Amino acid sequence: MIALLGRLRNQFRDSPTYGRDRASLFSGGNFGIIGLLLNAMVLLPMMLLMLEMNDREIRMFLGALEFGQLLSLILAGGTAGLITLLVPLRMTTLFMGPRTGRYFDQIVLSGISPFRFLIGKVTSQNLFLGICLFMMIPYVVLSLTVGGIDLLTFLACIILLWVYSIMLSLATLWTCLYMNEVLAAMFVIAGAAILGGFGAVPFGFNPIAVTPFPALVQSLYTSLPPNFFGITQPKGFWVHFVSCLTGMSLISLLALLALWVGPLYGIIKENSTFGEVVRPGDSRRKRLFRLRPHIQRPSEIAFFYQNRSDRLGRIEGLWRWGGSLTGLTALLCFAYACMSAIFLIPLGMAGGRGAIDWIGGFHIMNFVIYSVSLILAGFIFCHPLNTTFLQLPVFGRVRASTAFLDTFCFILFAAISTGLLELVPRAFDLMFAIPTGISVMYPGGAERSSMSSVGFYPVEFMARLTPIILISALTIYALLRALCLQVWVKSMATVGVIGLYGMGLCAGPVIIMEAILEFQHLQFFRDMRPMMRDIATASPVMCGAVMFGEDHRIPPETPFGSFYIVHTFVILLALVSIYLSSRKVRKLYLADPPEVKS
Amino acid sequence: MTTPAVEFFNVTKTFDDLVAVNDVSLSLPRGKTLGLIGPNGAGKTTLLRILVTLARPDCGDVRINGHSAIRDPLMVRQMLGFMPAEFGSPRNLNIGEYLDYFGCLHGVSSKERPKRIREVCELTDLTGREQVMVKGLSTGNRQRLLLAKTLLHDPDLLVLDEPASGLDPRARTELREIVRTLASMGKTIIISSHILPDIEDFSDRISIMEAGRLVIDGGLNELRETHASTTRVVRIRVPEADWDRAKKLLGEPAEIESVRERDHFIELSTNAENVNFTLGILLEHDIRVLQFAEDEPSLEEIFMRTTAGKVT
Ligand SMILES: Nc1ncnc2c1ncn2[C@@H]1O[C@H](COP(=O)(O)OP(=O)(O)OP(=O)(O)O)[C@@H](O)[C@H]1O
Ligand SMILES: [Mg+2]
Repeated sequence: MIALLGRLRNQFRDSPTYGRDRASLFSGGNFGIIGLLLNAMVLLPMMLLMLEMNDREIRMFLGALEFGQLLSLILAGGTAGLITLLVPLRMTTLFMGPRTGRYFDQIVLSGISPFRFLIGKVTSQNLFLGICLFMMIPYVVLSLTVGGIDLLTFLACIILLWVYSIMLSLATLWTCLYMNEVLAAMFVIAGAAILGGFGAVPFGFNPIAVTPFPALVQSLYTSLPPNFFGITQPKGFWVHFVSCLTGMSLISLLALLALWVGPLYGIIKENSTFGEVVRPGDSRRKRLFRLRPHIQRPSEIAFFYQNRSDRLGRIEGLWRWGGSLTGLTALLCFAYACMSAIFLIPLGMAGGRGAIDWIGGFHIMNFVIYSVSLILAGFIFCHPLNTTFLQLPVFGRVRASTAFLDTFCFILFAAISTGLLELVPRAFDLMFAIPTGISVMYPGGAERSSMSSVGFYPVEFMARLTPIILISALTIYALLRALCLQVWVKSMATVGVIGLYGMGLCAGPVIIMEAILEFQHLQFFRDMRPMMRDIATASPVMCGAVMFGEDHRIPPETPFGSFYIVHTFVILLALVSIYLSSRKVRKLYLADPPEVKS
Repeated sequence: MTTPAVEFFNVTKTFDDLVAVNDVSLSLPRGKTLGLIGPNGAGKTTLLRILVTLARPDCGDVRINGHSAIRDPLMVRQMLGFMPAEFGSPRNLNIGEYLDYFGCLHGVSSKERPKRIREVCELTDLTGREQVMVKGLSTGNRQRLLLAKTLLHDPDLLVLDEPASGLDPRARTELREIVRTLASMGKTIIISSHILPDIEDFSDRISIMEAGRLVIDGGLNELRETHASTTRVVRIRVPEADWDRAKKLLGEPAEIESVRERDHFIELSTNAENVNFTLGILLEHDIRVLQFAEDEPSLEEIFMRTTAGKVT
């Protein structure tokens, strides 16, 4: 363990990228740009506030704050904003990052391990942050003198900013493994901005603590007068500090792990050439704004994974799929635990009486968790065409293809989650509900009428809804797998499936039903009227709506035969497509260079 | 028997319809220098990129010290140093930092690096220039730097793609010296070039490529002998006054293959048995022969003769 830590420290200390980044960062021009952007970030909010000075609320708001406090807030916020913007751009070398350009193959040729290369990039963010902080010294001095913030809090904020910049850079590199640089930068910046925005929402305690914003704005909300526009008084700064630190560290660790493990396609030798030509016809396809769909690599960073050490590769299948399966199952259990914990609150009230109104919610949550987990599993256990037929060592002599492992794990997970779906309400009933004299299972009878708004009868209800969700998930998975054999970017296949399934099978039947009802004066639609029920219930959304009594145009007892027919048909179609394209893909990807006798 | 340093087995690489490397098989023993020549677009760079694991052949295999570059690229990468034809450089680095950067990439430990950098600088005549920025370097110094970088991790096999392109005569001579020094250090070297006298100077083996095919492969002396057995190059100097007459006379007989002027000499190629016949013609017509020399064919002649000027 200590040796491992020592090795890790060495990776940080003696990294080539670090020195390279340092050289590119320390130039007059870059200092100027950073200074300019930093000033803009700090001065812009000030100017906006000043322009709106006449607004009553803003005046009240400003009146409640000391100048020093406002300044320190704007400083911290401005720096965090700048980091959010520039760190991903620098990491993806889109802006102010060292471009590798034509000597890139030289770097990879050196045999440097991906982890060592990437760690250097991350370390160099410290320099960048250092420059930002250095440039802020005048403001900081001013803020400390005017007295808006005490030194300890100030240091804590700097620590948060530091962890934030590390997290952002790791997350960007992680994203880069699966997307092209431009998309990755946009994705991370947008994600951080959204999460940061949520983080600044004045809850008493903000659970979205994956950015430093909850802690940074805490002092602002604390110093507001009580009941100021109904803002809840927040918990203390250190609570936020710890939660933000934990949240960001967790994400960083996850990203670090992902970077260490690397993407699956990174270990395919035949994809690992730099020549623009990997497949016949490649050289005719042009490189489009850094998008290189023809070389089967999302970003330059991915090339380094051909230098990954062989040690990870020996039980590649086991830890990759085993890890995903375990992680997913753990996540599922965690979700169920949270759900049960939430439901325990009303159960505790008034000897269980208060829980009655919550039972519908309990079951809906149960189904939501089930559906989300299945879709998540479908997305995780799916690989694009360049890896589909890769044979991987699983354990010892056992080898299996990606396609097999994916299918196996998805089905296994579907079984686990279906089991939990049935099990959790029953276990909850036995352990918590029945002792308080209530049941979430509704064997029928008197209570049913009190649930008029939801109108369900859990046992039969579950027996009807579960297959609908399961079949939908299977269809989505089959479509995803079929599309993944056409493209080599999973996100593209995902978008395709959202289009195909979402538009075609979820929304399509509903739209047709609306059209039938709307255009009754047209002969064509009048003729379709008798089939309306069957058409509409081909959509899983409609089936759900009917069962939950949300759509009264279709009676709840309607059989969902058309749903099963249409979905079976789509699954069969997907299977045929998989069969046909897999023959082509196999030929393309399993063609080893002919063995040569020597 | 020791495994050869480099072996190509039936390597073929196509770019869409273009066959850049066509069924090339080749082997080079350890410690030898191979000169790879061929017209533009012959596929030299492509062949070298396949060797250094930067491109994947459509079929065939490449082995370096017995390790396949296709199946075990990581291992192969540690064993070779590749000097590409074009110089892509990081910005904002000086020579010292550049070498330090690549040394670090190659995993030379921070303790050893200064020493290694000093050594390669000395070898490539860059000592004292560590502070010069990489960006503004002259072609000669750039090639030196690239070579220095290639030597940093002390690879056994050096693959140099057109190291002498764009160099002035003095720089070329210096480069030749460096290559000779490296060869004497026991390194296996593969060098592609258009400058035939250079190649002739330091290569143990010559391979000539054309349109993706290996047309000639063998030791330099062997090549000379095979080609010398049939053909002789004869250089003749005559007085200015007789120059035109002599040229006309020599152009007539069918036995003489070609007549050229070069550096105040009349140069002609002919069969070995016709050498005396040539001298006879001149003497017959009372032309004073100031100098008469019979050469072995130069690499250039072999090259011109074996390649047909087919360009892909
Ligand atoms: N990435 C590529 N995509 C398509 N065609 C390529 C690619 N690389 C090389 N070629 C083609 O392959 C052929 C051989 O090129 P190569 O660079 O190997 O020749 P070369 O012998 O090195 O020529 P030169 O002496 O000009 O350097 C050329 O016709 C070239 O256009
Ligand atoms: Mg070339």
